Formats: sequence, structure tokens, C-alpha cells
Amino acid sequence: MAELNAQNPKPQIEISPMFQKELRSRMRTTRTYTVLTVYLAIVSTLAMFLYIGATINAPRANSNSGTIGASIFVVLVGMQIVFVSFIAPAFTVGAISNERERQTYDSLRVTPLASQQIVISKLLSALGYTALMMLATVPLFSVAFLLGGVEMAQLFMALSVVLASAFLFTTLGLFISGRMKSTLGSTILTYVITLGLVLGVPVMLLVGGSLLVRLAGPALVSVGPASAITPGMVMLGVAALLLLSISPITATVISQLSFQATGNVMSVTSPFLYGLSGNGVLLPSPFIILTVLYVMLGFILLALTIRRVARPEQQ
Amino acid sequence: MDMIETRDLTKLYGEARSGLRRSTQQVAVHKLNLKVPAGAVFGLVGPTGAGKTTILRMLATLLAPTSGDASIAGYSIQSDVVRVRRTIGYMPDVFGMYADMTCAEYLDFFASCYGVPKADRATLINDLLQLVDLSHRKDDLVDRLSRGMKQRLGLARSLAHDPQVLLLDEPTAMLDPRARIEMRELIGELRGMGKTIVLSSPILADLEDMCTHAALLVNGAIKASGTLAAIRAKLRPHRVIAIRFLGEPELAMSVCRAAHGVIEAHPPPSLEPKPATTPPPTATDAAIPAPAPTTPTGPRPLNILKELLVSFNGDYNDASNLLRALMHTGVQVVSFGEEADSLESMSNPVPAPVATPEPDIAIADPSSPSPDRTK
Repeated sequence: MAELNAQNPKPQIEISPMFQKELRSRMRTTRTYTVLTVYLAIVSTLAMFLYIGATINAPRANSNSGTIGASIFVVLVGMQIVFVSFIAPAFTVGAISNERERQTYDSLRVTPLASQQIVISKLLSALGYTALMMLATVPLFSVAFLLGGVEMAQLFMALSVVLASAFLFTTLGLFISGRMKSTLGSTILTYVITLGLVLGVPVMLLVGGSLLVRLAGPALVSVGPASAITPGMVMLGVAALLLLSISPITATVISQLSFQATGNVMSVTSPFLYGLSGNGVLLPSPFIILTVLYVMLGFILLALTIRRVARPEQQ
Repeated sequence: MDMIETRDLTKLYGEARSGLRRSTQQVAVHKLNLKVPAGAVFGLVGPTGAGKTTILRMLATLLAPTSGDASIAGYSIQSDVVRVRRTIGYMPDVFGMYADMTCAEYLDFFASCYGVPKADRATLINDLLQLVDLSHRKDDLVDRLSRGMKQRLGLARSLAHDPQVLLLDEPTAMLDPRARIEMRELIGELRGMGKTIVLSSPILADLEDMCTHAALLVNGAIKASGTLAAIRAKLRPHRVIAIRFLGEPELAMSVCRAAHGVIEAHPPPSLEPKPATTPPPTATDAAIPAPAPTTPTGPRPLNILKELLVSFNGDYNDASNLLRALMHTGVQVVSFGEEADSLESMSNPVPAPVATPEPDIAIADPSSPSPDRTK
């Protein structure tokens, strides 16, 4: 048997050297553990205060545990969204520009390592760390589940949004890092775009919506008879829904609210859309639109980054 | 066989004219045609901005040429990028290292990038570290190495896949004299291994010791190229004899001009009287401590020493006769010898003599070197 093994040695499967290097470098810095610890401390403190507050206000905890569980779940999901939106890009904004600044980029690019290997290794390393941080919050999520009030469908919706957001924002950081010469410039641009997507859209809709209500009157948002809804209003509703689906915050809120109201996971019926065919118009739930949109955009940015790294410099 | 060949290789920086926008293009390399034989150590010589780094970056497939092409071991730098990268080892002029890695990890990473099997890497790393004399720092973090050690580790990194060709951009730049000597010895060893090496440097004395071939670059174009002897012949078809003496320069000049084999005799143009301020140090002067400035209370000049540069194409007899004629006419010759034939002096050949006689030069300390002369 030993002879047979010697004759046919097992083919060694080697992990990409770039991926190994990235993981090793990431896990060697104290920042990695500091960020993880601080994140967990913030999330668990919030969950703890929420739990204590709810039990103090309602001494009979058994009758109220579902509400507490749901509240903790909402806080956790909210924190995850904020985390992937604003911390995950930080893991990639310097991925390539830092190599340029540290003057290691030429040494790396002159190797026969394929550009996709370089870029994907950097992306996977960042996503791996993001996943580690999300996994670290699993015990807190399990508390929410133990208390009840949270369904698997809700977790599925939240996870879809969080994972798609993590993918897009890390690829966005990588893409901009590949274009910019300095990490500072890359960081600023990445955060401006991320802020615009995550907070800009809800703020814009909030302001625009309140103006619209003031101008058009409360009839616009009330569920009226089918005849009162015009095709123009339906189009407006569709556009608003699509816009709301761009931000992970609004997409999650609307998807969760719609699920709680109708029990429907995959689709949403808006009062805006009611009455076009007399039975209401069903559209994909915002979390589905966001997931598809973010994953597609992420892959496009990834392809562009790979192309950029592969190309010899022109200047 | 030529290992490297460039064909009208051109690089323009900036943007071409488009619409009403003016062209901002600047020529970095202009129609470069070079041939580097296998096993040669080829030096790219030129001042800053001559295009040395641009040429090396294009050869290393890091920079796209504007036009023209080059091949390394028969592979085009534009269409056979991966093969070229497997053939070359490139060390940039300034490069960083992954500070959180040890020397062994650093080499292991690059060896794995080049596809060296895991089973062979441990031996390879030991061999490379031994070659660059860093075995004792194997497990030290890269960040803790001195500049010279980092440079040697960078060279080891570029050798990780045993490339046929080495492209070294200013390998001795910013090194102390000892590290510079070590690097020179290392390059000599690599030459002994049969590697074709292209290196650049503005420090001409360094290249002279290492190169078998060279090209002088000025503004992205070759001024001269070939073996060092061929460059010498092209840039300076005759020898230059430097004569230092005491006495009348007109007399010495007339004796020289009348002698057989002398083409021209004139004072060195670089030794014109200068203001009292200390001249800025050149790259070559950097390692040499500047002579103490002469103050009114300082040592009195020994005497007025004159110098003549004689363009000469005679033989040893003619030279001997010239020296005898000078001494016979009363010129007190202090030194008489062929001027050092450095690449630097060749790249700035002696200009044609001017009509007006050069004034005498007072040298305060005869032992101190002339400010503009290089080894």
C-alpha cells in the first residue's frame, strides 16, 4: 500500500498563495480583533438593554417574550446592515491602492499570478472576515429566536439583504481601490457612494414623499376605491418601490412590514399599486430586487476590477 | 543569440491632442532599438529622466508601450505577457515589502506565485537566502532589515523562479558603500550563473565594474550602445592626456600643439574659475567628504597649478616625446597621464576648444580632487 502511495502521490491541492497571504496578513493585525470585539460589544450591549428594558416594563415576561425577541432581531438586523454598509468596504478600500502606496504592487504584478486570482483573493479575504463577524453574532440571533416572535422567513429576508450588501460594498471598495492611486481618495469616494445608497435614498424619499403628500393631499396614500387609482399613480408607485429597494435599510423595512401584514415573503402589494386590475399588482419584494440588483452590480464591478488589474499601466 | 530585442520601442506620457485640447504628450522613450546578447550584463546609463525606468517597466510588462515592441527570449512583451513574466525577474528601483512577513515567508509567497511546488520551496528559500547572505535573518520580519538587506532580499525574490533574465532598476541606489560592493559582487555571481542582466544606474562607476555592454541614454534616445570598448571608440575616438604643471600655460600649449600625435590641447572647460561658494555635490561626490573651505586664515596655496587636456592619437613614443619636449622647454610637469576613461566623461565628451585662453586656476590643496572630475 505504501508503495502504491509512493507511486501515485496524492495531488496536492494548494490554496491560492494570494488568498493565503491576505488571510494571514489580515489575521495578524490587532485591528482585526479590535474591530470584532468592539462590534460584538456594541451589538450585545444594545440587545441586553433592549431585553432589560422590555422585562422591566412588562414583568410577565412569558406573555411578552415574542415582542422582545422581535425587537432584538430588528436591532441585530439593523446593526448587521449598518456594519456591512460602513465597515465591510473598509476591508477592501485599500486592497489595491495600498499595494501601490507601499510600492509592492509592481513586484506582485510582475508575477504570472492571474489578475482574477489577485482580485478574487482580496475579495474573498474581506468577505471571509465579514462572514466571521456575522457568525460571531449568531448566539445573539439565537437569543432572539429562543424568545420567539421571529420567523425563518424574516431571517431569510434579512440574510439576503445583508449578504448581498456585503458583496456589493466590498466589491465597490475593491473597484475604487483599483482605480484610485491613494487609499484616502479611495476611502472617501467609496463612503460617499455607500452613504448615498444606504442613507441618501431613504432621506430623499422621505423628503420627496412628504412634499408629495403635502401637494397631492392625503388621498394619494390612502387605500381608496380602485377607480381612484390612475395608471400614472401606479407607475409612480412602481418607481418608488424600485427606489426603496436600492437602499438595504428601506428594502428590509418594507419587506419585513409587508411580510408581517400579508404573510407573503416573495412579493409585495403597495397601496400605491392597488386597483390596476382590480385585484392589486404584485411586485417582487424589495429584498429580492435589492439582492438581484446588488449581486449583479457586484459581479460587474468585480469584472471591471479584474480587467483593470490585468491591463498594463498606460501612464 | 539576442536575449532581449527592442524594435522602435516608444513611450509617450501625457494625453494626445483631442479636439481643442492641446497635446500634453512628452517623449519618455523614442524608437528604442536595442539588442542584449544572452549572458550579457547590460547597463542603461543616463541622467534622471533619460527613460531608464520606463524601458525596464515596459520590458517587465508593467507599462504598455505607445508604439513598437520588444521581445524577451523570443516572447513579445505585448502578446506573451505571462511567458515574459516567467522568463524575467524584475527588481524596481524603489520597492516595498510586506512588513508583516518574515524573510522566509516573503520568499515563500513569491515562489508560490511563480508556481514553485511546495515540496521544493523550503530548499529554494534556503538557497536563495544563502546566495544573498541573509540565512541568519531567515525568521526575522522583513521590516527589521536594513536598506541593503532589503535590496538583497528583493534580488532574492526576483530569483525565486530561476529566471533567465534579470531586470534590475538601479540596484545599488541608496545603498551605503559596503552594501553597494556586496550588491556588485552578487550581480557578478549571477552573471557567472549565465543570467542575462539588464541594470540601470546613474552612478556610472558602478556600472563600469559590472557591465559587459551598455547604452547611453539621453532624453529617451540612445546616444551610444554596444560593448564598453565600442562605446569608448564611438564617443572618444582618441585618448586624452591630462597634464598638470607649473609655469606658463601658453608655452605648454604651444609645445603640445607642435608635438606629433597631438590633435588639440586646451585647458579643461570644467575648471573655469568658480565663485567662492561650494559647488553642489554630484552623485559621485556624495560619498566623498567635501574639502574644507579655504578661509583667509587657512593654509596658504602652495602654488599655481595649471592643467591641460591633450587630445592625442599618437603611440607611446609620441607620448614620451611630448613629455620630454615639455620638460626640455622648462615646463615643470607635476603629472602626466591618460585621463580616466569613465562612461560619464564619455557621455560628456571634451568640447571643442574655445578661442579665448582659459584663465589659470588656483588650487588651494593639491591633494584634494577637482570638483567636477570623476573617477
